[in-house]
This record gives sequence, C-alpha cells and structure tokens, in this order.
Amino acid sequence: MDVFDISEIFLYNDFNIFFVLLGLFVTAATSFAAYDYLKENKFWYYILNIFYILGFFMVITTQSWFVFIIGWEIVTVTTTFMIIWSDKKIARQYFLVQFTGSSILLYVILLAFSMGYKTIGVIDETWLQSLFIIGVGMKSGIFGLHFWLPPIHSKAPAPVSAVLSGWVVKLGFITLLKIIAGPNQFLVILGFLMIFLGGIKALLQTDLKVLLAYSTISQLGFIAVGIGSGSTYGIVGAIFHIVAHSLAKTNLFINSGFLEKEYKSRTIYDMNKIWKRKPVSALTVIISLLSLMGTFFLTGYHSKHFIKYAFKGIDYLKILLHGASILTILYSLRLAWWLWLKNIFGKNKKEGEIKKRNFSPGEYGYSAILFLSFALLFTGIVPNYIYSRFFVEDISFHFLDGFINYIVYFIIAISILWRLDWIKTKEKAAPELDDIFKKVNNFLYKISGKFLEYDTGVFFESYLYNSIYNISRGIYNFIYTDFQIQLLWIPTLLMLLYMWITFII
Amino acid sequence: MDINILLLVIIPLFTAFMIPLIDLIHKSIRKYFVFVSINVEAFIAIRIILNNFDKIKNSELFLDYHLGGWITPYGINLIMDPVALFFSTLITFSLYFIIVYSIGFIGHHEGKYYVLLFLIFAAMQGTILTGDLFNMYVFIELIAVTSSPLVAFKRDQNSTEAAIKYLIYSIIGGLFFFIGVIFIYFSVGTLNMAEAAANFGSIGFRMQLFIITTFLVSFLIKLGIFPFHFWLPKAHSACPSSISALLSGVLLKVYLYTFIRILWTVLDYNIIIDIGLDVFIIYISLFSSLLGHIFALQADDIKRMLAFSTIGHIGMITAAIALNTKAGFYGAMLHIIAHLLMKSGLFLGVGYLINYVSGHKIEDFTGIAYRHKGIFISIIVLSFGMIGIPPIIGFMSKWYILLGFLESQSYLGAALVIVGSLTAVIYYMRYIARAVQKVKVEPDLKNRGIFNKPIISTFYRERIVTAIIYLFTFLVVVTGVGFKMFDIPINSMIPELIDSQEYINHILGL
Repeated sequence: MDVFDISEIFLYNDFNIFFVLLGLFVTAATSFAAYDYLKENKFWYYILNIFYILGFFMVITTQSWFVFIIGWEIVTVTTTFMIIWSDKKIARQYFLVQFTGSSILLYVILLAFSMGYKTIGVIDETWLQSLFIIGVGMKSGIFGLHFWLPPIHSKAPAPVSAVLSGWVVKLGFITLLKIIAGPNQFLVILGFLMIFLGGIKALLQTDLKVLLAYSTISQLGFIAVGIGSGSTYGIVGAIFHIVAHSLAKTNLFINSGFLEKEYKSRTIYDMNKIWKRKPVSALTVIISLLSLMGTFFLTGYHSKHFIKYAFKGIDYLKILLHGASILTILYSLRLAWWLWLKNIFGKNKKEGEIKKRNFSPGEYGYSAILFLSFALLFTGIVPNYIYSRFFVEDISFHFLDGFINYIVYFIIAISILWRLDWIKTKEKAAPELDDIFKKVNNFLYKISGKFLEYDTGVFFESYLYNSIYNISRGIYNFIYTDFQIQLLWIPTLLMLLYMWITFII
Repeated sequence: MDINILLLVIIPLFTAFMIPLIDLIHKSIRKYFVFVSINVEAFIAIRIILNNFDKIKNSELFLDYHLGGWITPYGINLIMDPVALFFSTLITFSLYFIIVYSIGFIGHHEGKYYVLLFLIFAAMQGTILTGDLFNMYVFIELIAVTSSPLVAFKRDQNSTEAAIKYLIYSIIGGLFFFIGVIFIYFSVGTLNMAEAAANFGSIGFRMQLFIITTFLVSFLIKLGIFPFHFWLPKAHSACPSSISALLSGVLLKVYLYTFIRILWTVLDYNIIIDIGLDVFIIYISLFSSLLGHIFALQADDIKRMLAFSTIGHIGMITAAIALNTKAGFYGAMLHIIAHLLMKSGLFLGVGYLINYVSGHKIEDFTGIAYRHKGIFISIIVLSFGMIGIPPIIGFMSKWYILLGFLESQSYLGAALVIVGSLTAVIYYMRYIARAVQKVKVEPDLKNRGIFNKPIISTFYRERIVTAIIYLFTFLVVVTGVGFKMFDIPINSMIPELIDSQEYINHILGL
C-alpha cells in the first residue's frame, strides 16, 4: 500500500545531516537558556525538548511521506505542551492553527502520493508545488496564512519563542528546498509580499517580541525569494539565510526574555543603555542585529549577497531587493538605537545606573547566547565551511560589490531614521488572535445584514468558539424540529428513491 | 462442520438463560459466572484462530456448520469466512472488556442487565456468523428488542423517551429489512444467502432495483446516516456508559457488517454502480458526516457530543466502503478498528468520571480532571486519537481513509474528512479545557472529605473500572504503533468483498 521498506525510510546525506546538526545546536542553546529562565516544570520541559528533537529529526531526514507527517505532528504536539504552562489560551490557539496547517499539508501530501510521488523528492508539476506552498504555508508563516505568527510568537515564554521562531518555521522551507527544483513565480511573489509586510509592520512596533515576530516574517520572505528564484545562487542564498536567521533570531529571542525580566517591561523605550546593565546581552544583540542587516563578516552578508546575485539579470527584482535590504537595516537600526545608542553620549548620566540586577541569566544562559554569536561570526568569516558541503563550483563574483552596496544602504537608512526621529510610535497592546476573528466576523455579519446576540457569559470561551457554537446551534435548530417531522424523513426519502428508480432508470 | 462456530453463538445465549437460575442460588455468584462465561467465549474465539492459523495466513479460511444437519438450500448454516472472522473477533474482544467494565460499574439491577447484555452478545455473534437471510433478520430484531430496555436502564423520563424513539426507529429499520427478505424469497425462492446470490442475476431489473433500495434504506436507518439519525444522540447519551460504549462502538460495526454482506455478497453491487446509486450513498454519507461534526460543536452534554462524533465517523466509514476500491476498503476496515477502540474507551472513561456528578451537562464537567488525573490523561490521549494525532491509531486510519478517497479522485470526500477532524479539534478541546479549569471549593466541603474519596465505593470495583480504561488507552497506542499487524486480516478480506463468487462456490459446492 505504501513505501515502507525500513532501510529506505531515513536518508542520511550531507544536506539532511547539516540541517539536523543546525537544529540540534539551536535547540541546545534554547535549552541552556531555559535552565535559569523557567521557574517551574523544568523536568517536563526537557522531556518535551527530547521528543521535539526526535520530531524534527524525523521531518528532516526521512524519505517517506508517512514518517514525515508523523514527525511534524510530534513537533506540533510537543511545542504546544511547551507553551501550555504559561498561557493555556495561547496554547489552544497555537494548537488549532498548527493542526489546520497539518491537515492541509496531509491533504496535499496524499494528493501527491496518489499521483505517484511515493517518496520525498522533486515534484514536477507547478500547480502541485503551489499546493505544497499553501500546505506548508500555515506552519511556516507564508503570506496570507501568516496572521497567527505575531500574536503567538510574542506571547509565548522566551525560550519557547526562540524554538518556534528560530527553528520550527524553517522546517517548511527545508521541505520546500527538497521539493522545488526550478523557478516558481508564486513563491517569489509571496516572498516579496512577506518581506515588505513584515518589514513595514516591524518599523511601527513598540513591543520587543512583536517586533521580532514581524522581523521573522520578513526574513522568511527572503528565504522564500531565494528558493523561488530557481538558480543555484538563490538556493545557496536561501540555505545561508536559514543558517543566519536561525542563529540570529534564536539569539534575539533568548535575549528578549532576559531583557524583559531585567527591565520588567517589553517596550523598547524602557530598555535603554543595555550595555551598562547587561553587557553580554548587549554584545550578542548587536552581533545578531548586524547579521540581520547584512554586515560583512557575518553570515547575513553572504546570504543577502547570494540572493541578490541570483536575480542578476532582472532589474526590477533587483531594485525590490535593494529596497528590502534598506528596510531590514531600517528596523534593525531603529531597534539598536533604542536599545543601545540612545543617549550614548548622554545628557542624563544617571539613566541606566542600577543598584542591583533584577535578573541574571546564569552561566548556562550566558553560554547559550555567546555560542550562538560565535557561530554567527564563524559562519560569516568562513563561509566555505557551509558552501563546500553543497556545491563544488567556485563563487564567481567579488565580495567587494556587496561591500559598497552595504555602505550605501547604511547611509540611506541612517539619514531616513534621523529625519523621522527614530520612529517613536505610540505604545499599543500586543496583537490578539481573537481580534482578527472579531473583525472578520463583524465584516461578514455587516454584509449579511443580520444581528446575532453573542453569549459571552461562559468563562474561558473565546470569540471564535462562541461564534462557531452559535452558527452550529442555528443549523441544529433548523433541522431538529418535531418528532413527527423527524420520522417523516423516512417515507419521504423512500418515496423519492422509489420514484427515481421507477421513472428515471 | 466446525462446532466452534456454533459455540460462539450458544455460549452467551446459555449464560443469559442461566443467570436467573444462578440468581436463585445466590446473587453474588452472578459476577463470577459471567466472568467465567466470557472467558470461555474468548477461549473459543482464540481456538478458532489458532486451529486455522495457516489457512488464515493464506486467506483461504472457510468454516461452516449446518444446523440440524440439513443440507444447504434447506437448512440454516453458520458460515465463517475472513470477513466474518474479522468482525466476530472484534466483537468478542471488545465485549469482553465492556462486560468486565460492567462488573465494576453497574451497581443496581445487575441481573436484568447481564441477561439483556448476553442476549445482545449472542444476537450480534449470530448476525455475523449466519448464512441465512431470515435468520439474520431474527437476530437483528433480537438486538433491537434487547437493547431498548438497556437504553431505558436508568428509568427516568429522558431515558424512557430515548428508548421509545430508539425502538421505533429500530423496528422501522427492521421492517424494511424484512420487506427486502420477503421480496427476495418471492423472486428467488430461497432464503439462503449464497443461493440467493447465485440466482440474483436472473430476476427482473425492476425487482432487483426495488430490493436494493429497500435494503439500502433499512441500512441507512440502522447506521444513523443523515435523514435517519435522529435516534442516535438521544439513545447513546441516555443510557449508562457501558451501554453507550456497546451501542456506539460495537453495535454500529455489526450493522456495517450486514451492510457489506448484503449489498456486496447477496445483491450485486455492480448494479448499484451502474445506476449511479453509489454516488448517492457516498454523498449522503459524507453530508451526514459533516452534519455530525457540526452538531457536535453545539452539544452541551458530553455524551451527546460523543454520539454526534460517532455519526460523523460512521458517515466517513460508509462513504469509504461505498467507493468500492481496495484502498477504500482498507481505510474503512482500519477505521472500524480504530473507532471501536477509541470511542469505547472515551465512553467508558467519561462515564467513570461523571458517575457521581448530578448530570452530564458541560457545566457539571468543570474541574472534573482533578477527580482522577490518570483517567483524565487517558481521555486526553483517546481524544487526540479521535482527532488524528500520531502515534495513536486514529492517525493511521485517517491516512488510509484519505488515501482511499484521493485514489478514487473523490476530492470532496477527502476535504470533508479533513474538515471533520478540524472541527473535532474544536469540540474536543472545548470539553478538555472546561475540565481542566480549576474550581473553587468551599472550605467546609473540602473538610468533609468528599473530594478525596474514590468515585466508586467498593475497592475492587474501582480498580476494575480504571484498569479497563487504561487498557483501552494502551491498546489504542499499541495498535497505532503496530498498525501493520492488521495488514494480513484486512488484505485477506478484500478480494472476497470485491468478488463474491468464491463465497457462493464454497457454500453451494459443498
């Protein structure tokens, strides 16, 4: 009935092993950071971590669709349980969203399976590739299905956010790397939409974790553009960017947890002069932000450069990519200003001086963020370490091209930010998944002209569940009337069937 | 002539008739007698499997028993072929666990309960093993008659209403079955299934269609497919929990067996395909499945919610069977096993937890997880299985059913299966979240120690009940990981379903 030869289920080639090792490194870093950050249920958290590692191991190294989807469900369930101790409502919403994604993915996988693709490999039909993009989309934050990412990644506890945003969303893109071999326009369009949407929203945020969540969407757009370009340079760029973004975003989220506990608030305006209060965090945040911006000697430089080189012939896309790079530098630099540089030569010397520290990450926490930063530096300075695993050709462009581009972007970004006074927007509440459903529901009901009373008296039920409950109760009351009418269905249907076979057949 | 098949039917019948006599001796011997009897039955079922093991592996199993020694067209014969073996084993073992649970769970009117339960057991085995149409009708009516008092077991208004509704629908369903049997006898002249199958092609076309339609409506009523499902939620929620598990988990599978046996072996399914009636069956089953899941969203009572979920899943299984492809049958059979284990486990577990709560509305379900954490974790695992999360068997059966739908290019069916499991997440999570909610207990209530007592007051009964629920959870996970063990039984059934000529040859040739 399906491919189930046990010797062929797992494939250990360079590609898979590399990503498994990267995932292990990132997950180990978050586990270390969680050691002093989480106060309770640590034992179950680490057990869940082990199963999570098993899950993504199955997703990355397997060749059989069946084991693939089992692995992904294990990842979903374990990450849900990791969130559940801090906020049950977010865990419910996260599980629902991820399960929807899994269901769509299961449908598309079985569609491919029934068409003859019995193992994970390159898929030829473009429409099937697009369906896969939609299937993976809900779990990897592709545009259109990304609405859940900012509310959930910002409300989860910091090590879990790091895991979710740093690695879980990449799994979909790793799969797309195996499936898509040629250019795919759909993915490129979606990728650009993601970059600009994420970037512009990130410019306006005041909450650190929400900003990082939108930045995740933006950077995932770069990966999508790289994969969709279809050329070797694009794919190399996508792989480099997966490495760069995993390391950088994990680092940033772990540090956001430390900073939140230290300053007791999540607004970036409250965290100032972090180099005085938390020097190690400050150093690692700067390294990660520089990598996101694409500074040379860090991995982000290589990835952005490769992706730009992939579109070397197409001018309008290159202009869009220039704009995307400027946007990334804009929001990263804004974050760096508010955290690091504001009042660095300051008038107010007292600001930022403390009597005692509120929170200390402990030796495991420090080692986690330092190792991540070191890995960023290492892969940046020695890109051949990664490049030589995948390709044997030589890199045929010059490094200094990108250098000049970078300086130009930097100058443009600083001047824009200086003009706009470093974009200090008003603080607003973190986004809620409920609000989105409320807006959709109100819109639909305004169109249909109806007005329904909503039963909000029930504790623990959110807006989505209430509206679903009311709709199904409406349908139920419509069908369930008298007992006699219920019995009447039997002779009605029987007569209809008899008349059909008598007169029509 | 294998007497073991006859013993499978006779032993529960004998037990049912002996229980009143045992009651005259001493009431407490009753449960030991019941336990001995189900052990003997299980032993005979295992003996049948072990004696014919190599024949089962080569899928050549065929046992029969002629009642009274009468030869084939004139007498009733009991047949065991791979399909019957599969269903009969499932029934035997699941009823074993349900009866052990009942020993611990039922506290009053046990004599009447066990008599009725064993009569149902004998009737179910009889339905599966018989080779004669009128015999099957008798057993189906016996099931209907003996399960109605069990539905009304609690003797309050709600249960009696539910039992009357259930009885009316069952009798109407049986009536249409009877009309079909009469017309087959009228046209073909015999009541033996194999003989009727051999001569079915020689009846006039209009008469064939009439018989097929009548049987079809009878099965739709019995299975609880959309326009005829109104009895199901009430009946499955008003009875004590072990009976809910029996009706919802096990009995519907017996009706699925009759559905397969009559429409594929006796009548010719190719006629149904030719006139396009199979499209009707598939679409009405899928619509019923969708409605079952939607109605479960608004159910305020946990047992009603589980009953609506049953409607959803049985619709899915019927649609997968009606596709008439290999992959469809495979998925449907695997889902029969999965749904039986999971739904029985859920009903038994929930029944235990809500035993001494005043009702089973959702308001009473608040905070119930803390009454017994182990059982609640089992309920969570079983709910995950119903949703379709690996490594529980619900996921594997969902995979194969989806594969069955997509291979025959019924994209709507596959989409409805996906939508069904998504809505299942919503309605199961609603109850689980409600149960985990912490409840404020007044201090003086807490001091009275009510919440520290076990739910069932007798020690060994509590142990039996919790052990059975844990056993179901264990089975669900073990069969999920080792789902390939069902490969041989299911694959041996499929050639026989698609082509019924072998069945006819085996019986008439003898």
